Amino acid sequence: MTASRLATGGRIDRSKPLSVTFDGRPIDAFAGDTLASALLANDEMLVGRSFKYHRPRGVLSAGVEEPNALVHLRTGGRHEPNARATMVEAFDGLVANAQNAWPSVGLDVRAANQLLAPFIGAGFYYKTFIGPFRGTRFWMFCERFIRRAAGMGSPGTLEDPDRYETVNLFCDVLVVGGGPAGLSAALAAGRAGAEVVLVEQDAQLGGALLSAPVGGASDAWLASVRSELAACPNVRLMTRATVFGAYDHDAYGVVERVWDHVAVAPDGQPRQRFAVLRAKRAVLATGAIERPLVFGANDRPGIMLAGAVRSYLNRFAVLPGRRVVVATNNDGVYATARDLAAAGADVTLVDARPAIPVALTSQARTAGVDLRPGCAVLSAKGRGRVSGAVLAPISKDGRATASGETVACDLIAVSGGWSPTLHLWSQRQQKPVFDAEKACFVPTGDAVPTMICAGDARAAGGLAASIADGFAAGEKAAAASGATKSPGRAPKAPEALPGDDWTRAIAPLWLVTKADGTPAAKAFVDLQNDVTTADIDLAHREGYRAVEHLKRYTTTGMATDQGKLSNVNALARMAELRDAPISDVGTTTFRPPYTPIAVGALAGPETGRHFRATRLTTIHAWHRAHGAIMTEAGAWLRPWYYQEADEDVRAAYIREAAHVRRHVGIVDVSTLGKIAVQGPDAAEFLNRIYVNGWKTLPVGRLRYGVMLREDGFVFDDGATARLGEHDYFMSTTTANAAPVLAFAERLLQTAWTDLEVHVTSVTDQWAAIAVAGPKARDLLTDVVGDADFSRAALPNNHFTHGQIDGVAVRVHRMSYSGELAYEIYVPALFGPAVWEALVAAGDPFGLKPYGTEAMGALRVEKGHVAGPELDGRTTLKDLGLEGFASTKKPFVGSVLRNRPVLTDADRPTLVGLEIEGEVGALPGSLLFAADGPTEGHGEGWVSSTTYSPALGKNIAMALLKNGPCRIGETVRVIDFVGDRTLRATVVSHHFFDAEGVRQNA
Amino acid sequence: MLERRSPLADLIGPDAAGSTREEARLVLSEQALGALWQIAGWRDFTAAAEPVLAALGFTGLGDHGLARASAGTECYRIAPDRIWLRCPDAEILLAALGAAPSGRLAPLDLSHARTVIRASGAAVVELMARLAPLDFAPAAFPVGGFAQTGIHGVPVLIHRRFEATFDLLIPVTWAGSLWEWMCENARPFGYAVDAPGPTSPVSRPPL
Repeated sequence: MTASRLATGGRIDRSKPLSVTFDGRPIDAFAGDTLASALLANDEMLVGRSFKYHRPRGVLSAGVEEPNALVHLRTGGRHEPNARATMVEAFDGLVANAQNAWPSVGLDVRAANQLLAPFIGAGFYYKTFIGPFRGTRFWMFCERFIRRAAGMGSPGTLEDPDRYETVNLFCDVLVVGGGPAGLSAALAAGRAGAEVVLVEQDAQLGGALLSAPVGGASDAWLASVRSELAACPNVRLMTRATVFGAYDHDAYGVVERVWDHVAVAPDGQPRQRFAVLRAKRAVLATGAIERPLVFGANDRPGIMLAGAVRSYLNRFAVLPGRRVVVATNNDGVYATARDLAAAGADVTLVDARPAIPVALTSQARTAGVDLRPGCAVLSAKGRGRVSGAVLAPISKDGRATASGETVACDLIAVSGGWSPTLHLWSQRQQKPVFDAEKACFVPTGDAVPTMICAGDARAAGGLAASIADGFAAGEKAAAASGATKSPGRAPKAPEALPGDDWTRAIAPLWLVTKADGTPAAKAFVDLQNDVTTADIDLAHREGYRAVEHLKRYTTTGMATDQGKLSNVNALARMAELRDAPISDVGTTTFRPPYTPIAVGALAGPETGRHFRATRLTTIHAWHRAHGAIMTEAGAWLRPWYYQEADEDVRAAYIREAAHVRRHVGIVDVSTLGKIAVQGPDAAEFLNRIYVNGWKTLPVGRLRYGVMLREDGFVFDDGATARLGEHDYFMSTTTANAAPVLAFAERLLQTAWTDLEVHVTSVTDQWAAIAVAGPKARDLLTDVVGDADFSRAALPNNHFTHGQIDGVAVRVHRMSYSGELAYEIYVPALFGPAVWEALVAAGDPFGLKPYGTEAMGALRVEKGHVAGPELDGRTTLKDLGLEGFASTKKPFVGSVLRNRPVLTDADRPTLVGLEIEGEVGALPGSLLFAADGPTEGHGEGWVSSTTYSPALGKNIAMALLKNGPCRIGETVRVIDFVGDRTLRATVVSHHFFDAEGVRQNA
Repeated sequence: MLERRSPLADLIGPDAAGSTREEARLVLSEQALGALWQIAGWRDFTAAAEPVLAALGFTGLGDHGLARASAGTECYRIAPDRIWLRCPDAEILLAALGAAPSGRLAPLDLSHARTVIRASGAAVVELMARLAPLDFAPAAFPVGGFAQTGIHGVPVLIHRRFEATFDLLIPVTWAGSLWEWMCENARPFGYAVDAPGPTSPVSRPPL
């Protein structure tokens, strides 16, 4: 045992032990632990395997930047891959397992990949698998094996039982980060009267202050500020929440892990909550992330970031090692070395800088630290965990100047400086600049006017500076958001010990090599993606020297890293190879999300039955109560068929359609789009939007119309009734109701501002009921009062008003089925009662309901086009509707419909098909000449298909090249998906009652 | 005379069970819409609409985003040249519409096109924040304010009647689905359902 829990101290609650397992082994943990701290406390140094080479890896950090300790969490539907152990709060019942290793993390057979390391460097996949053969088939074949060999955790396949929420938040000032700068910013903005939201990813506020020894001066400061903030009614504190994305218009994506810290969320409560937060101003007090140093075998378990070591020591009371080598190029680690020594560890501190201020050296030596200026770690020793470090004096450029000395140790704590966390700022398409003095990228001034970086996020330097900087940022943000009160003075910063400013005199050291400039062993730049210095060197040799090329060729900084750990070291190496300053190499743009986000959180409650809203006609309940099997039609649920006994859909629709032809049927057509067109110029509007003329349509009549898109293709069709001098009632197809309304509105507000017309959706205002069949007139005459349905009084394309049991209705005479038919429009809330009245009155006439499948069969028999034919690729001529187009007026699409490509005589044109045999054709089947070749996409396709009860055979509507000239020809109908070939005779698409005798009866 | 039937009739029933009224931080209910008419016009909309509005007791066209009330009639200016008028008595509206100059206003009956769902209670602002991308803080959305927005992809009009009471005017054919959506989002707070009319409250079972 080398790593262990200290007997006292820390911010954990020792009175609350937790039951936690890792790979089936019980792990001692307390409330306040993370999974990582619990693992370390139990000396579990080997917790994962690397992405590509399956090298053993241990905990590196104590935060979101963790590249190694990625684990599987929980079981069953709650299984979660790629969880960073450093960010997982320990809870009672926590089950964690290592991932990307088989059979175990200790004995992983895929570690054999390391033997192949010389052959599978950067670019290996591209060079080896793409190109040897024509096309990408070989790559596609190999990819499955490569992905199986490499990769991260495995996603679950069971349904997630947890609940997730989505919420919209607004504030004047968003403060991201609950460290000293963020707390100060929130305090200033809150005192100024702004509505403030402070978002902190940790479970506790305090940031880096939580890593300081318990009971120190910073604790008192923290308690005071937290208390004041908690008492501010205009400040909302959100812990366990991450701002993962910054977007245009000052919108931010936030995920709040509401109940992630327990095994199962309380009933009804969300496990996580996704918030879209809109802020007038934001203060990014996101701190900085410590960088590793690159040296030989720098990925061994037991090598950790120095700041993380301090966190585990002081916050979690875990001493990660007894004999510790601390390696640095900056002042920031001296506190870590002091605290380790105070906890009883033997500490050797190697500082790459030859000159160190006396205040630091004397304090370190007083604490018992073996301080070695001008030295660095050349390589680590040990395989499964660190057993030693080779220390060597180095030159300014990181090369060893003498042979190394091996020092036995079980922990190497490293600090290569710090990188301000600029991800959110960068996501707003900003490029930070390299500050050579502070050896990091920093944000530029007011590049995003509504964002202010503060504290370590802009390398302010030291605790007092961060507090002052944060307070000033909060004050400025509040004022910019409209707050007017004075925030007063910033809270007095706690007294800081020497070395709290990592920016002071930092040495630009990234990589430690032997005297010849090569690492002493494999040296990792990007631990998560297994990118080594050799990969960077290879990219340089092969010309991938631009920063964006470097990233993509080597994968450094990809995935969840997004520049957190690897970026600067990779850039520095490339800069050295290019013999250019880092500022010339630049950096990549970091992408959201800042940290991985569960898909469940993004989906929120929009899953299952709530995936999207469902639209129901007001008659829906009756359909369900009377055996209707429903089908989706866009957002609508419509009766597909009304099942009798055990019949299937085919038997049902044939029965229903045949009944309509013989007797009378009733169908709910409330889903039709309905648009009120009103105004003095309504007729002119219709004249422009439809291909046919409308100025002569008298009140009391209705007319079928077709409209085109501007590009000349058919857009939609439907009937429009003239209700009054300036009032028209347009109907559209169900699918195009919203697009047609939007199309009309756009034209009126942009192109036709000269027209005095309003269009308003009245789809919801009116229920619509179609009654069709030879006995339709008799039924309506019986049930509708105050109306004359005789042929003379109400011929086709006329409407009349009437009432059913006191409810005013409007009855259009028009037919979709080819039968004598009427559409009854009734105020929507009366729809159910009117439907029931019709059904009750219809009994003597044999009235039966029918669904959409029978409705489709009837319209195909009649040869009416519908959605499958109006698919956005067909013209008037293709559909045999050319005769509707007026030659006396322009209309939308009237010019472009005459393009040569749309008037080509060879275009597929609407025909009917009579299918040979007992099996019908499937929509989408392709058409080929009976004796021609079976090549390409054929000569056309089947658009609609049905069994025709009236004809006693399977029929279909199709678009066939030169269709009208091929009547009588036999074609092959091939369904390539089902691998079935049928033969069919080409006929007119007007299969049934082409003369219209029945509908005009 | 046949009866109107609410699209929520089968969702708000006396057989429901769940949170008690005392436990619930939210109460959901359906409210009667009454008569709802749209009046729309063009360049001379002010001149055309003002006589109608005056007949109902309103002065001027009103502000966007702020509902007005006069003698039981409510006025929502939903666009520069469109106004919704809501009144329990359709005859009052029809009489007022008679004051419009001939042919210069487009009146449209929408009385069957919307369902009114009322959400109220201590957690109502939190519920609304889960439904619509608007700031429902009293300063941003004061009592009397209204907004047209989308909930779950459905266009709605939201009217803040009181500090803790919102009316949502929802297209009738979407009302059932949005009711269930509201219930789903209300679950964490606990909610009760008031049956339509002056009946005792009932509650909705967990979804």
